[in-house]
Amino acid sequence: MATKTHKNWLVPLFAASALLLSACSTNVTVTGDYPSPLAKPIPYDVGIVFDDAFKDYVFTRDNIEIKLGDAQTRMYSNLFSGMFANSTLLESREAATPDIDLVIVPNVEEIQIATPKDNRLKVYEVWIKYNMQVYDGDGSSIADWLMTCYGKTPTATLKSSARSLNLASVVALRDAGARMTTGFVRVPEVQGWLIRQAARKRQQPAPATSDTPAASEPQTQTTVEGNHERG
Amino acid sequence: MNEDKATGTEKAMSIKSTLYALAMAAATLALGACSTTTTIDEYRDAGVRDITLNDNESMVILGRRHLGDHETEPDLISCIGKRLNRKLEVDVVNEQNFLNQLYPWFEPRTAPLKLRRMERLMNDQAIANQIAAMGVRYMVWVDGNTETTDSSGSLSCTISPAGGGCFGFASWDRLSSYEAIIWDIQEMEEKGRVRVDTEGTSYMIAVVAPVPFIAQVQSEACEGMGNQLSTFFDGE
Repeated sequence: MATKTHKNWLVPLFAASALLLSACSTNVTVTGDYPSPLAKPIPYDVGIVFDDAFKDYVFTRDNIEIKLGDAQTRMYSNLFSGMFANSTLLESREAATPDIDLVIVPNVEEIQIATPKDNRLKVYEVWIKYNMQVYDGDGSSIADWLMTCYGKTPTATLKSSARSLNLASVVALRDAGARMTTGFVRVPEVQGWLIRQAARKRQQPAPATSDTPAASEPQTQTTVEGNHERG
Repeated sequence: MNEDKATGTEKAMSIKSTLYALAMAAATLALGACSTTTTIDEYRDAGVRDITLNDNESMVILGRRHLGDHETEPDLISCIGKRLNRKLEVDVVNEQNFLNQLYPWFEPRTAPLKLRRMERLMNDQAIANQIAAMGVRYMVWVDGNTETTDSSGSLSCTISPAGGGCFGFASWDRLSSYEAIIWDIQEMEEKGRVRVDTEGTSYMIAVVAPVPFIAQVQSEACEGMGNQLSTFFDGE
């Protein structure tokens, strides 16, 4: 009988402890606006591979948990659909069809966050380091581009740390899109590939049925897309 | 009996007047505590006349967010936009909408810091067309933030099975400091600058329940900035 009474006490005790513990933790599922970029598309067909680790990515530190997978998958889908003439979602690199010129596999290399307790600046900060693996249509590696992006909140007090971390993560993801749009064609290995492709297409004889010599025009612009610089 | 009654009435009158005096003191303290001081500086070239916005033209207010130590608050930008819209009855494009439509060219990493860079951006036909489609002729860049510069006093709260309460006094100074630059993106020239500095002290008095007297520093800065910016445009 005494044991039973003891058990009756344990249930609310555990429930209260669980409630207290969850009250101290911050769980964020990142949500935000990720528009398609306003840029002249790079005239190539690209295949995108989002593996499970990327799609379900969750960052955890102490009592903080940030579910980033869904948001980053959406951001990159929108980004690549505007950045390239054509973008296709692939299950794996091996699933690339012959008409695909490039295959891009984004991976999260590292994430760091800083809360007001860490930086004493009254801002929340998020850094994300991506490894953008780029392959050509044959599956040969072109580049492993380590791309970092950063987001922070304004100094004004926000309602909760969850909301602040979401805001900082959204800014970081948008920054990743900006970095990708302006920096992708400037990666030396990618730039080299684009130049080689343009030269190869120039060397190809014009189709016999074509009446106009304009068929190879778009490649001449490939190396200058998105080359805006800060000023 | 009559004397007792008279003494009772006097006592009641005395308590009433004391309460009245306390209420007046609290009201005075509240008003005094929440006072803010705003300083506005304006710069415009001697040759620059009032700006006239045509029916099909609009403006956008954008916050600077490229620096590491601060970034301009989106709610301040929205507040200035609403104020200009009310005062001038002009179309002010929503900041987030503008950023989304022109993504990624006005993100913290890519936004033009100088007119020369803006001119280069406008050479991109897609960007120029999008800005033209939105009818944006003037861009107002606002840089600055609101921060707590000093704080003093102490306040403590306790909770016990018998009840809870707070006791103490705390005060803190806040400073809003913003600068706005107006760009005419058709003529590619700067039309002027406005600087607003607002400071104020907030108080919190706690006797059982905490009573805050908050100085609305940022909204005062918004009002000052909105009013001054509106003088650049026709209709003021």
